Amino acid sequence: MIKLENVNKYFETEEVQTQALNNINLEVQEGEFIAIMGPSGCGKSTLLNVIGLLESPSSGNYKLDGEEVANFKESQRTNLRKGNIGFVFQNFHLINQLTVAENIALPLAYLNMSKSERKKRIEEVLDRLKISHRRGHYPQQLSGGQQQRVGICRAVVSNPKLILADEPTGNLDSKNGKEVMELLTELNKQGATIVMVTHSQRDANYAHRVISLLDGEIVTEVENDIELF
Amino acid sequence: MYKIYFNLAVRNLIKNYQNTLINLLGLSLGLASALFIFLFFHLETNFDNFYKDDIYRITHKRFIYGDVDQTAQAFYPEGGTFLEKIENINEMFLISNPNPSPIYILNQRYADIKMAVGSANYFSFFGIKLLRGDAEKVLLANNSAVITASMAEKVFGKADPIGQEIELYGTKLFIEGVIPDRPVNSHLQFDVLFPEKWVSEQNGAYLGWNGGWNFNVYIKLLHEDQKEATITAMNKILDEVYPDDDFSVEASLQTIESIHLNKGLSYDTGNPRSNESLWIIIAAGCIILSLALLNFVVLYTAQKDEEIHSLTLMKIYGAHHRDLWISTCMEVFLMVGIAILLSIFTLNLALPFLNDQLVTRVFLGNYIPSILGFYAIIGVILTMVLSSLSLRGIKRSSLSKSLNGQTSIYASKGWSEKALLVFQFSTVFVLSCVGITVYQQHYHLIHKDLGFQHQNVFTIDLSTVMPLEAQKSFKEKILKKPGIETVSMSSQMIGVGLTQNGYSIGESERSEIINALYVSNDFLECFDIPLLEGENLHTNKTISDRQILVNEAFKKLEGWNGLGTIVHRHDRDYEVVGVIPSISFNSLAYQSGPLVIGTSARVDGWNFDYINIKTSSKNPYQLANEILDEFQKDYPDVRAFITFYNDEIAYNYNYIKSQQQASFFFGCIAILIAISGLWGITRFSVLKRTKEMSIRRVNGASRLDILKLFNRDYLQWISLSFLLAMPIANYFGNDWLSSFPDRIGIEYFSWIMMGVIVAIISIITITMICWKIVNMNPSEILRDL
Repeated sequence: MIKLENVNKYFETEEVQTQALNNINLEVQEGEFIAIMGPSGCGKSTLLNVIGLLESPSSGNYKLDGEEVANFKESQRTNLRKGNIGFVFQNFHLINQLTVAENIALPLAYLNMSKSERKKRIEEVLDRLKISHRRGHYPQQLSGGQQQRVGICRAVVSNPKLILADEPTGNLDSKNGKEVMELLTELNKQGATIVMVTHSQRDANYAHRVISLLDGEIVTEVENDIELF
Repeated sequence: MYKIYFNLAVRNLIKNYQNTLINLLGLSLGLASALFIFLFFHLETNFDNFYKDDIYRITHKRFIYGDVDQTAQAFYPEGGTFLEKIENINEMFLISNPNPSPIYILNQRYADIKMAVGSANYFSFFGIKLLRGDAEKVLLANNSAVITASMAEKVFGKADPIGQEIELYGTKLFIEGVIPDRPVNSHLQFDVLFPEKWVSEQNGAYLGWNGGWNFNVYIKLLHEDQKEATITAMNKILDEVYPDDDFSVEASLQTIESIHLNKGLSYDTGNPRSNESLWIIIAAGCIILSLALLNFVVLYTAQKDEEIHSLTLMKIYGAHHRDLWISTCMEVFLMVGIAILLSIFTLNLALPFLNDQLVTRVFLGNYIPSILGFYAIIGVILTMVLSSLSLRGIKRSSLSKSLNGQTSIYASKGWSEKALLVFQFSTVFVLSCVGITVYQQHYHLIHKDLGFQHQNVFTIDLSTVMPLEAQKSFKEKILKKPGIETVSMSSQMIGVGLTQNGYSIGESERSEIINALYVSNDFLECFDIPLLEGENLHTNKTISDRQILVNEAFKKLEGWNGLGTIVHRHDRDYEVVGVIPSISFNSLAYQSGPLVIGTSARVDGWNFDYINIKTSSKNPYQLANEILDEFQKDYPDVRAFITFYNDEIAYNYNYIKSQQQASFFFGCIAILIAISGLWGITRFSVLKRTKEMSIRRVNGASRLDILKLFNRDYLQWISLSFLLAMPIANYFGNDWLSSFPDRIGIEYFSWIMMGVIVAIISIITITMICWKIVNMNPSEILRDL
């Protein structure tokens, strides 16, 4: 599903150039659950951003579903993200001025979906993640765990093939963290491909494969003994 | 999708309610200014453009002993003579300047009704249809009059105005017609028009070529291409009438459309406006508009910084830049829409004041389609420009950076906020300092020693002629009342301007234009005017009909040869028997020149129209009313009213008071916008520098140090504004003062005090905003960041 070949990513300021990704070669199969680990500043989030089409690679090839997307323009990347990629963030990144239901509805707003279909999808995902009773609340009225559930609802409401999670449990206690990881595992079982950045070995254990980065390079790839769904 | 945008827009406005209120306040004021400028310009540049025919007014240059007076006023015979002798003049209409005259209707006195004398062809000449009455017949009889519809309704209510009586200077006029109100963009505005024939019946009215009644003369030409030849023909006639080089008149023509924006003619009709005044008012409005818009742009884009996160999330989940633009447009449009409604409301409230102070007649109801068009255009432009500006950072930055708060729309170096501060506060200082100077000059003029005592002196202003013996009898009667010190009579009121006559002095053949006043014997005593030379006028010491007093300025005229100099007028000789100081008998806005004081009012065709009463009463207003009641009881047929000299002299400077109020009005709006701008800028700066402040606090900075840091940052720019504003205010202040013969110097200390007050207001504003943050626990702030 995802194929990165010799991908490099540089960040430049007026005085210095920093290489965030160094010759990355990575393949992710459909239905796979990948965890990316490494110390702070090693390029984990940059790699996730490149995979999620939030950033373009400075060089190299990136094939998504067989299509070369490395040099896509912003509008093409937007169209590709729409409905195909769901994002889960460490800081939840919910819009404080929108209610839970409205936050979840956000990805559907750009899919030309009928109002009834949108409503049905939102209700389904709210029920699935057990936060229906909070649909009219604003993010600041929710606990961290509940906010991350909403974040996951938003990521999955459009039934994307790919879910990208950037330290999804980083701001949660262990109980809520476990719940979120179980949710992601459940989604993976239902067919979603998941790429997750994490610092936590415990969370990484939920993945089929763990990729370790150091200074922008992949240093190890370890397969967990988990059956691929 | 649009519902989400709308919800976001509304909730953003509510969430940022402080900024929303500041933005709405500034934008409403700016839009109100913009609308006012638009309507003002539209009105002022479209005067008298509704006539079908080409109409001209005759203007004149009068050359009087080397002096030139430019005026639209013509002596009575001119129009008729031109019409008779110049073939190309097809029609002629003459009208006196419409002026408020004290008249009585249904026994009630009206002092603010504009009366004008005009020829009977008014309706055919200007193509005006009467609402009531026969246009062919009205204004033919000496005592007929027509009244405007609104004035008829005001004074007669629902009663039929036709046949109603108007009493003017003791004569009775009867209303024969009602005309529609003149459009607001007509320079010729009057309430009542009565026939020119009425003038010839007035005692002492002079209708010749050498003075007396003056008229505006309007003409229509048979052939437009012969305009220059017509002017030549007019001047040929005038050269024949005035062959003497010492006094000659040169005529010219101005189109009726150009009259309003052609200020500079003496005693012009209506309220002509100079181009300078037009552009100054437009510039003031534009400055306020630009202040408000800049404020809005800077504060709104700063506010948008906080929304980058939401916009980025939208983009991540599939929104194109166009979608974000629509979302932002919705928010801006919502704000602009509210501001438009508020601006209409605000302007509607301020219009009476603005119309009064700026001498214009802008009414919202007259321009509804234009207002809608104006707001539609400005609303769309504002929405599009602001939305594009607000999103410029988002378009450039990567999504991951924007999501992590590394993108800033708001200028990182803050140059735009500093430029805005300097612009706003410079404007505040210029307007305020000029306003202070106008106030000080007004105060100076009001309190200046005029050379005569006018405290507690009031006058019975007689609207109808009263026999001199009756006046003397009344004087003797009221002198016995307690609280009455002196009573005198005069032809006019001093301190507000006197009539001028032509005199020659001694052996000189030169004719001088000199102010003349006729008084009774107690006049100098009544006003505490000392005598510098010669004989005094006193109850027991009178001067004869052929003797006069003069002022010191008179002594500088050619022909003066000390006391005993003979002054000639109309084949009569007068001997100068005394000299008084040069009192300010005119408004201090004009020079008071030479003065002649005589006692022979009736001999020279004048009346004593004013009974001046000096009182020592502690309640002069009550005493004045008692005396008026007594007067009306004794002389019920004489129309009279009370005027206090203090009030009448202060009225001289009402136009300065208007300028002062307008200046302070615009100054206050500028301060309001500037302080709200400072509030918004400081608030965003505090939010952006919260981390920096907390680190400073952790490293030992006290609360006071933090407050000093912020105050210093902004005060240095406000100080720069003050320095930049001073030369500009100095230029405008001195330029304005230069029009006064009697003027103050600029008091820079008061300007500095103004600067200090604005600085204190700014310090309070900045401190209030920083107060919450500096009192928070810095470790908590750092932990939450």
